[in-house]
Order: sequence, then C-alpha cells, then structure tokens
Amino acid sequence: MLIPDTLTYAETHEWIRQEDDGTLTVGITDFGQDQLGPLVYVQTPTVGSVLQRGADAGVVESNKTASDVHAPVTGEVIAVNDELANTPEAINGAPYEQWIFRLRPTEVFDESQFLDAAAYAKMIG
Amino acid sequence: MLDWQAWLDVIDINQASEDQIKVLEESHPKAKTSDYYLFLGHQPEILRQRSAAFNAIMYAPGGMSRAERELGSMVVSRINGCVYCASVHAQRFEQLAKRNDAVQQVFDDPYTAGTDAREKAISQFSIDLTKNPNDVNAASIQALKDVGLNEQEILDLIHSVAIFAWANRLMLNLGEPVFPAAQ
Repeated sequence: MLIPDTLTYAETHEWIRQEDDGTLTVGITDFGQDQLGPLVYVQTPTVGSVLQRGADAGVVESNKTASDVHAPVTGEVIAVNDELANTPEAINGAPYEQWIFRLRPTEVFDESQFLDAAAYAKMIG
Repeated sequence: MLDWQAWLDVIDINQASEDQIKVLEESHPKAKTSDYYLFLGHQPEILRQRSAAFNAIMYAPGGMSRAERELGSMVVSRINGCVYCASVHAQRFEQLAKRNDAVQQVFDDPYTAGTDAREKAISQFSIDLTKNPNDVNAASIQALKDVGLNEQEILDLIHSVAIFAWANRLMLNLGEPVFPAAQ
C-alpha cells in the first residue's frame, strides 16, 4: 500500500498536500481507493464555493459503495480535477497523482490535527 | 443489506475461462464471489455489455443527479417487487442524499413518495413507465419539466427506469434474495 511520506493524511482517507502558496491539494489515499474498488463516479465541489472544515466536498463511488470526500479545513475551492468526471478509474491507478480539489484555506492548516505517513500506516494496519 | 443466490448453476471460478475471469473483474469488485455475476458470466459478452450500459446510465457525468437516478431505480424495483434491487438502491440513495425519508416513503407507498414536488414527479413517472409504458406521453414529460427537470435529466431518468426493468427481471427470475436471518 503506497503512503508517501511527503503528504499529510486524514482519518477519513484523504491525502493533503500543502503547496508553496499555502493552498491545499486533496485526493483519496491508496488504501481508500482500494477499499472502494474500481471507481465509477467522482463528484467534485463547485469552484468558488466555501467549505467548512470537515464538510462534504464531494463523493467517490464504486459499484460497491459511495464515500464522501471531506474538506480538511475551512476554505474556498479554487480548482477541481474535471478530468475525473470522465475517467474516475484514474484514481485507482494513480491515487496520489489524481487530485480531486484544491482549497485556499481561510484558517490555519494545523498539520498536528492530521496524520503523517507513519501514523496513517499504523491506523490502517 | 440483502444477499442474493442463483437458482441455476453459477460459474465455478476455478474452471472459468480467461474471458469470464476478465469480465467478472471488470464488472464489480465482488463479482467473483457473487452468484449474480457468476451466473451472468456464462455469457461473458452480454455481461460485459450489461455492465457498460449500467455504468453509463447510472454514473455518467452531468444530467440527473446520482441520488435522483437511485430514487428512480428504487421506485421501479419497488413496483416490480425486486426486494434485493430496492434494498441495494435504497442504501445508495441514502448514502448520496444523506437522508432516508424518501426511502421510507417508497417502501411504505411508492404512489405518494417524494419529499417535494420534484421527487414526487420522478417517483410517479418511474411508476407510470414501469406499469404502463404505452401510456407515457408528452403530458408525462411535461409533468417532469413543470417541476424543473431538463431534457437531459429526463433522458437519464428514462434510461434508469429502463435498465432496472431489465435488472429487476434478471434478479427476480434467476434467483432469490437471501435475508440476513436465513444465512
């Protein structure tokens, strides 16, 4: 199971990458995609919308089940990966390349509230 | 959620052809342990086309929301008496819509189901197209437009209802649901 140590992780199986400009890029982890199975649908948030910390930011869905994707902090959605609408299964093949949305935080992104690679690996066992 | 068992012989996964294995892996994460897929796998090309059509109809981007497609599917399954399909798609509606009020309504009385005018129109149209497809007409379509559905959403709804006419018949005629207490 891939768990890059350059990323931060949420207990709800999102990965978060802090960019140089302070924005956050969010996707779902290798473990998350593996639990869902081949994805058939990805719903992304609306660009320009403001999400509260922990709020639903989208949905990833397989034939087996659906799972919400959450906003790690409060902020404005500044971009979404539109390509996933037609190729949701791309997440299965490259979960850390296929980001879902980018967020400009309006509050401090406190990494201590999330998991590093080692802690995430321990959580998923 | 319910399980389902076939009345007829399913593929023995250890004896399956390369193409049968391939189409099972393409169809569903649990296909290799599911009676439904293991039975349909006797005709791998039909299963392949079924799965492609199902995914295109139920998950295509744009058009009707995922939750509303699940609502239409759930209503059709309820009307056709396919307990397994109704159960599966009720759960998915609940996951997507994050509420189960419409689910309860569909199970209690599909003819009055819907939490607002739009859901009621979707439910009624799904019933009409299932029970009396020859009676659906321009007025039926207009009733959907009157509550805000656009033409792409209407097409998605008709496709959803139509593919569950097929799915329900497969489920109802090839096997039976297994209730948790019976397992």
